[in-house]
Amino acid sequence: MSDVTSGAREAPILEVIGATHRFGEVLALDNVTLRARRGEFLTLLGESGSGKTTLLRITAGLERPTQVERISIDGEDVTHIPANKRNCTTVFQHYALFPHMSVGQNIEYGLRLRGQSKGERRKNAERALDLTRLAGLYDRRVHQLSGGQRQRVALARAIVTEPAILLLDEPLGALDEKLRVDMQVELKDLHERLGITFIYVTHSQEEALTMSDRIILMQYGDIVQEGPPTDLFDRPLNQFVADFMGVENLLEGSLESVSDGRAKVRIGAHMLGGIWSGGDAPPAGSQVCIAVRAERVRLSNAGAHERQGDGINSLPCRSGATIYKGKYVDRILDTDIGVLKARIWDRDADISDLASLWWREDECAVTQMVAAEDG
Amino acid sequence: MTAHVDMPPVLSSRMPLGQRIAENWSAWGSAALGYIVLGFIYFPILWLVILSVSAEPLTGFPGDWTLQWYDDMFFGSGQREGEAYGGNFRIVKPLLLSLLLAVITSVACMSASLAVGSVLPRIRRRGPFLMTFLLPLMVPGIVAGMSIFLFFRVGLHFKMGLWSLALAHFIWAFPFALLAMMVVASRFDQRLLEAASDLGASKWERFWQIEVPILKPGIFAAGFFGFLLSFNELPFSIFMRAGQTTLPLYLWIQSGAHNTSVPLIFAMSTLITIASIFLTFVAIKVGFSEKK
Amino acid sequence: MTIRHGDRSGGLFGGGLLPQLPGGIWTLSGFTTFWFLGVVLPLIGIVIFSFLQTKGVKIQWDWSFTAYEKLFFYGGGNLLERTIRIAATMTVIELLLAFPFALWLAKGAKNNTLKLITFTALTVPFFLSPVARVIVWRSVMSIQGLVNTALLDVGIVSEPVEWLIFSDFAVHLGLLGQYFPAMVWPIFLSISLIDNEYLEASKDLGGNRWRTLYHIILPLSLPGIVAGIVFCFVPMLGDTVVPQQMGGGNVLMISHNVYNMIGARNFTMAAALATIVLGIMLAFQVILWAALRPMGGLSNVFASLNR
Repeated sequence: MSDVTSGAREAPILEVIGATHRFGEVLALDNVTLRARRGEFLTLLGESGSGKTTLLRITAGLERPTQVERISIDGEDVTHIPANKRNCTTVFQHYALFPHMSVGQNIEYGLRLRGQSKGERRKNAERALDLTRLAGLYDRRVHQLSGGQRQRVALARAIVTEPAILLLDEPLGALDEKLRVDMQVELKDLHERLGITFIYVTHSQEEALTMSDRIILMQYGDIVQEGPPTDLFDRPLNQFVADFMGVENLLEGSLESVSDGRAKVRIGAHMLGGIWSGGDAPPAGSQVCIAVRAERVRLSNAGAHERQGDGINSLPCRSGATIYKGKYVDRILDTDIGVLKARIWDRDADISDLASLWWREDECAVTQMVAAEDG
Repeated sequence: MTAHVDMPPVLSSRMPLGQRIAENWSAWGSAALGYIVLGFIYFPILWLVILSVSAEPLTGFPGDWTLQWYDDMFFGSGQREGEAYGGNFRIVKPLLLSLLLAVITSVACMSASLAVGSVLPRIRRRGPFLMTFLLPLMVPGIVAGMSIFLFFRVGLHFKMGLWSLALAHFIWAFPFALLAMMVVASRFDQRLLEAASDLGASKWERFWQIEVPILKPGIFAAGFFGFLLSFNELPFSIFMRAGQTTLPLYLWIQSGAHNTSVPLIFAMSTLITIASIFLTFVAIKVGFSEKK
Repeated sequence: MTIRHGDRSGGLFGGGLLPQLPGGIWTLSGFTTFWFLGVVLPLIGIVIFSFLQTKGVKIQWDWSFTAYEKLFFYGGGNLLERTIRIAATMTVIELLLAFPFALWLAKGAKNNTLKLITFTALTVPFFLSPVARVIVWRSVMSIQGLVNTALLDVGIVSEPVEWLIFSDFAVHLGLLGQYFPAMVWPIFLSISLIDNEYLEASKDLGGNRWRTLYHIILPLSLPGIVAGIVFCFVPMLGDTVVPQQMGGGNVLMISHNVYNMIGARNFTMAAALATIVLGIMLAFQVILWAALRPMGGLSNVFASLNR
């Protein structure tokens, strides 16, 4: 059971309280509570099956939760109000553009339903087209558009009705990489210009990091951690978060002590230290996880003992494989407590005569193995 | 190590036809068989048209060209006596009845196939439903016609009339109409309805503004099928006629009579056939232009 | 392939948007009820009916096999035997002719215009008057008709052939054309559903054309074959046009007798005859259902049509 409070001064624009949802036997959401602040770019992050899309659809009204205490949008209780009456729109993963309508008609559809006059609709549609860089495509047919263009039409269609909340369900999933990266920037830009609250669903932590004001990471229908990107990036709450957020080196050891936010961990013959980020600290002796990113691992041709000092973790190592990645080089290193990966961006910093590796205690996190309460 | 593969040889267009046929005899043979049978289907139709403008159609020989049969059929002269003679506008009543029934069936088929076709793809266990709706395809017309007749007339003592005839026509045509609709409807992306709802559309708006326009080709097809199938329907009508005579019934009765009205049947049948072929072409054209 | 969120729930319909159909469920239920009353119930009714007796138009609720006894007493057995024989013969012939043709259409023919014309040619007959389609044979095959005259002229025969029309031969010939499209279409559809990759894999693994046919195509097209048989055999049993037009009263099939029986108010006999036909149809439906099961059923066939 997880509870996330934004703690903002003003009322949240979205509240989903105590949502549970089952698909047949499968539990998709486990008593989840979500609050979104006005104007923020909030990302629901997780693997498939984590419940993020279900949560989004429940917000939109496209799915009626098996159980929920309350859903409110912009102060209005919408728990029993169907999707077509809620003040939010969705950008779907596969766009769902109406094939029998032109681009312009697609965009205007929501306005047409709201009874706007033809002239008004046209004006607003053109404005939306401008915002999404599709000016001039008003009369185009849907099947004539490229994937990227369709995505923008879907976006334009959703924003033109000026909803309180814009929901995006993995909208960039079907695009190829270059386009995806460009669109991320555009989406962020759009968000700033419109000032609408965005709730974004993705399984890509890179996307989440790039665009979000706040990230909610989900697993098995539960919220695991929430917070600004830096929180999840540098201060993972447990090993799952660290792993999901791309930390390459995860070492397991036993907790010696925690004080002043710093933890000491014993692994094998070594005593390593780092910043404790695992919430309430478990008793000494419990298994914990040291998470250190490959970028932070440095190489030295000096012996480990020479390097070891205040605020430095150092381990003797032997060289394993080297993987060339163009922009950087990954070096696999064998130590007596496991295999670590070091990422070297500066070619000149690479070292022959490798004797040890080291990293700063400030640059690694010590965290839980699993969440304190496991559902 | 490659296994020896017995593949049809590559056919070069520079090969003489005879050799091409010999190399791929199975394909040519299969095609030929099929087209020969199609010939057996279309020869009578073609010949019908030819004989309908021939002076002595009963011989099977195309003869001196004449429009006298059409003349007789429409305007009815006093050349031949006999009650079975089809002139004197006698085809008009059956023709009108058939047209009326065809329109009724067409409209009923369009509505019913739309109603069923839009819902059926969303149901998980569609199989049993489909099988039931396709039943008339497998039951011989006379059996079905008879069963409806016995059930309503003898069993329930309803009086037969236009309604029973229309019912029979609908039951006969509906499976075809539904099949046509299902081809379109099963391709319909249900997520479009979600998007419409998300943008604010009510149930009816979703149905009329999104679903129906996209299902249009299916609706047209269903309508055409309904019209044509009803217009030419015979076995059901034999039982359900209740004193009414449709055009096919009229022709069937006339052709059963062993007298000289047969040439007129040729003319009538030709007209119907040409009209049906024409309509079918129109339907196919409309259907194919909608599909992009 | 469309992923419908509703499908993940249990039950007949699934969750999601479905409960919000514009009365869709009610429309379907209503129509199904109507259909049941109009089609299924009468069919059941006729089966029941065949075990009853009538006095004129009134039903006597005495259960018995009287109707069947009378039926067979008055030659129903011969009638059935003849009809079934003819229908079975023609169904087999149709199958043998239609299968290669359908196979060629689905996998062999390259010219798209030709295919389009052929499809049209296979569709149009459904919409034509059945009488119009066969009536010409009477003239063409008659003793002074076209065929006889040609045969005499060429010298193949010295006397006009009498059995060209109003005979067993004629009925068979008439049935051939009437039901060919009905056999071709299901087989064609099911063969077109066979992914070309399967055929290529078979070739790749060393199979020749005939092996591929036997091991791959035949099993995968079985639903279509069974469907074709169903759409041919049973309707042939009840054909009203061909036996009368081409047989002229010399070749009596079920349709002729049924009509007479109803006219003579022998309702129960007619019902008995109909029940037997229905029984045959039911047997075939079961076979069809069994043949479709490994493919996932009829609904799946439609879904795969979208590929």
